[in-house]
Amino acid sequence: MGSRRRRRRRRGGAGSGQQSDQQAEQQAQQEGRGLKATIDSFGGFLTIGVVVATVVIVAALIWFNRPGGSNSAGDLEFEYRGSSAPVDGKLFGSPDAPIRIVAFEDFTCGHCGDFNRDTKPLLEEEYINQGLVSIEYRHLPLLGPDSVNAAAASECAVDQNLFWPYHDVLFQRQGRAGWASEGNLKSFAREVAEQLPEGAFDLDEFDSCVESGIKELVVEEEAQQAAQVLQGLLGRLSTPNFLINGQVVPGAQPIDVFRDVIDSLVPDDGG
Amino acid sequence: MAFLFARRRDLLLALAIAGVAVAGYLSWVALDEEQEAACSGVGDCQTVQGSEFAEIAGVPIAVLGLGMYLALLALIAARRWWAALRDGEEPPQALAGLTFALALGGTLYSAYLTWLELFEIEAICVWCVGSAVIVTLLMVLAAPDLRTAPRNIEADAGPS
Repeated sequence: MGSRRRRRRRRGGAGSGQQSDQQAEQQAQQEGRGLKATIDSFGGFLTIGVVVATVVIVAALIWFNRPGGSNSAGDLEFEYRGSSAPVDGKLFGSPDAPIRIVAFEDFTCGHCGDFNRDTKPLLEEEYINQGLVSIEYRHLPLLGPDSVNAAAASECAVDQNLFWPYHDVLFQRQGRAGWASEGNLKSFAREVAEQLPEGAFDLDEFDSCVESGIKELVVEEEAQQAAQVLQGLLGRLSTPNFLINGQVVPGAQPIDVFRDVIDSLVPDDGG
Repeated sequence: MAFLFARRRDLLLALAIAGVAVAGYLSWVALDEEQEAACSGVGDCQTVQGSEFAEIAGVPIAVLGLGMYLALLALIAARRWWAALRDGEEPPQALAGLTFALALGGTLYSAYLTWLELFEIEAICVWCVGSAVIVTLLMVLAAPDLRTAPRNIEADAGPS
């Protein structure tokens, strides 16, 4: 830019043209200095103000995103909604339902939590309670030890045919690393037991099962099978993923996506 | 080190662009439910991205980071643009202050996020660590511009 100006000066030559050029240039420089002077006149205060504001904003972000803060669902009381749908192990809904959703999920996966909190209740209300749809849960623990520990504990709940209420509390309590410690997993079982008739949940049996770690093999085998299925269908591993009568629905899609697929599969005499 | 400071302004621009690229990638991964961060076997990006700390009020941290890097890029580009258009005239001090303040905020928050990764989430995301290094370097390299004394406004404005 500077060299362009210099070239312009050289081309301008002597006379009134040169004079007016110089005046215009001086005016432009003064205007430029005026703008800069205006900004600079409060630059020091502005810098201090912005630094202070930045530190305040960072502190607010840290406060809001602190461990155990309001970002976590950990403090909400667990309420088991119950269900009129038949339950058999990890199958939710009638075993004779014409449409089966195989759900590949991970108890640590946030989007799996979204599906179970937002979409599953609607599916239950609209299709499962009518005997049209059933959901079969398959373990695919991809997110480390918490995922495996939670899945193994849920298998302990399967032994007492309490997988689904325990499944619900796990998705409500999923969170930061370490959320599925042995102590927490036992504590979640107590939250479920409080919602059930007395004696319905044998906590001693559950605790022994969790402590033994015996269900980790069950989870591992199921995860290997699930991984094979998903690799074959999608070429990658992720959760949640759903197979609706063999048709893939990847990710925690809105309820309308499930409705579209299910409605296209509902037999004519089924609704 | 002397070389780094000699090319400081070029480095600032390059780092801001790198920051936009890293935060942009992490934002894409965070917003697309089907994507997983490519960790290349280093660390555990999925655990970090899937943790409760990856979002604030439903907004992915990566998106906040992308906004910060875009603002830094705009400020750094504005400083260069100013100098280029005005015969190398030093840009307003406020731009340097804003750049430093923003990079300082990014560095402080990145330090907190790294602490969370190490001691709360117990997993490391190499992309997040990369971003933390970038924003820290941006802060260090932006700091010398704060030392430039403001021009004498009265002198600039001429005799009164």
